[in-house]
Amino acid sequence: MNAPLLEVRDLRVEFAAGRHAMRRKRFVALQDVSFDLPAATTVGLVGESGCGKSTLARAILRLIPAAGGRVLWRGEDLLTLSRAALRRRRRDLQIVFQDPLASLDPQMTVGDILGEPLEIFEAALGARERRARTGEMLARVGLEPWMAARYPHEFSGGQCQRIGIARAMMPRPQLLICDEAVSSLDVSIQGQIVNLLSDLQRETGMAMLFISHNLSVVRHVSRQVLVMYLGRLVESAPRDELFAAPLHPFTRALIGAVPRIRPGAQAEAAERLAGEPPPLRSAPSGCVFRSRCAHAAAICAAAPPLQRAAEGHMVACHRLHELPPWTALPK
Amino acid sequence: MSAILAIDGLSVEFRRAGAAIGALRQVGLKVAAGECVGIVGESGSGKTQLGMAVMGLLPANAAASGSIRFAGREILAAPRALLQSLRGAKLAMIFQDPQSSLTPHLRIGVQLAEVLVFHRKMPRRRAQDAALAMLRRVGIDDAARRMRQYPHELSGGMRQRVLIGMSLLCGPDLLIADEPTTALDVAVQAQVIGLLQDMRREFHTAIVLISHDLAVVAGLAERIYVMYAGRIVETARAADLYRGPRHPYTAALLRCAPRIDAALAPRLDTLPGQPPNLALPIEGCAFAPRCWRATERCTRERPLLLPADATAQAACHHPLCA
Repeated sequence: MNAPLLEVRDLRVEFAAGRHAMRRKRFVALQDVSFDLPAATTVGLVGESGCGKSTLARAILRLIPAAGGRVLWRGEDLLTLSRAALRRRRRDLQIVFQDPLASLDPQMTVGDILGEPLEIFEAALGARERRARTGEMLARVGLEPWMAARYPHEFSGGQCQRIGIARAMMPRPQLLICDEAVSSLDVSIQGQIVNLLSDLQRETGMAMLFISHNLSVVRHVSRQVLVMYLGRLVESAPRDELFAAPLHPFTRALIGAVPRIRPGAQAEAAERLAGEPPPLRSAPSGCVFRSRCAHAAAICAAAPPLQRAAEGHMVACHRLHELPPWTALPK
Repeated sequence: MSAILAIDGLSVEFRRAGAAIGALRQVGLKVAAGECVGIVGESGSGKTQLGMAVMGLLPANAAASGSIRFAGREILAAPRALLQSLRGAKLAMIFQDPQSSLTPHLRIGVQLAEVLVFHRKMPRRRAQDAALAMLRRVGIDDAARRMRQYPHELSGGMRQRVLIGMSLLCGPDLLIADEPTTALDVAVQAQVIGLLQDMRREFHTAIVLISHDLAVVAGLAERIYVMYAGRIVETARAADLYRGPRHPYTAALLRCAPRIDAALAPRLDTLPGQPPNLALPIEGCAFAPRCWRATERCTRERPLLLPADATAQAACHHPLCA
């Protein structure tokens, strides 16, 4: 197997909270996050809101500082790069955000928005060449080249997301991070955007980190799925295995809670997750999930290591071998 | 069963910058006492405006016509005093964003008790006790402490529980729930749907559940109305609708959303194009430009919502599974 494009190792992010600078408490937003992302592959990242999904994306891109760990891009640690080197490297790593309109500058035309990455990364390019590349990209994402003269507010949500994707694709990145990129779209538009991303990936061979709270979409696009809870990875498995045989009690509860379309198919028997995750700053010691876990025991007061359950399947649970077998939900 | 809510020929038009936007077009709908009815549609389909029209909360630039009868009484364009006495007492609504539905500077307990003080003229002390009991009933832990807290101190799921409790304080006959779980995580979403289910059993409140997500509605509603471009395009019993949708739009909605329990395909099914601009005139069927079954007739002649069998109606010239 090829060396992964991106290797994240023991990544740690800390935030400070509190109104007074002197009394500020630091808390851990990401702890010991490690995973690999091979080229031309999609890795999905799921978890509840506030669990650190977006923090991970931002820490990888160094949009926020890391407190420890390494982010290896083709073996080179992004966290120790000089500012100038980082800026050059960023053309390879692009991101698409959830709110398509908010992430586009309202005062720039779509043509300028798409042209900007070229001005930065391919400064030698002439204006005519830039316009040609912009027009090509607009057509590629399903818009019309003449739309380059328009402003973001003139477009629908789905179209804005196509523009956001086009902008990210302009410097021909090798990694595209999609942070809830389809979450605010209507279902009929959502599918169009997911398919567009798959097509772009097949054409360019780029890797994707696909972040979403929507398990059904993640299941559709990912080869490997990471499950995060309160800033820790609790499970990582190949897609089919994760959804057919989830191990961690949190993963099981998450999958069990997804609404099913067939009336009456909603899993009453599934492990119903009680309550909501505590805020990060008051995360339990030891296993962070133990305050909501039906299987928690005395041993869970110690932090569980991420251990290998099967090929490519890692899970952080002390009670792994005492959990009841997972019963597939009624079809 | 008598209808607690009967809407007939309801149209709502917004005037903005000289243009008239037809948000609702000849909508008809019935909800029986104690029944749960789902309204499904994408953004802009008019489902929220339908809820707002029933509550008498349409903005000033909206012109409504038609009829909305609540418990046999016409409430469209009813005097403000009548609406005010109904709202929060007999007729309640909860919204997607529970944060903006609560007053930020008042304690939870005060806000809940106020409902009973206003509508039931209950002494404040007794109202507080009733509010506390309701918080416990909707599954809020440590309810006495929560009563003294402000909305921002509660999580999103807890705020939605508070609002559900608040809406049920006066034992309303009808609860309109507009995307009540959309802003919540999937586990909390399941909790809130379960709570609505329990509350409906306990209080015999009829529920109109508005959502863009057919799967969310599937967990609760007995009958479903599907809306597109301001019109109801199909209505049927939930089980029938999921098993055999008649309108191509309903079929597309069912097919397009990736399902956690469906077989995986290399590509997602999609619906090309986007909903029509409601400020422009729509000729024929509004869905025709995106419909794979559309013929020349569909672009010319608007299909009427006609009975397909004893319990279902569809507005389509070429319905599926006839």
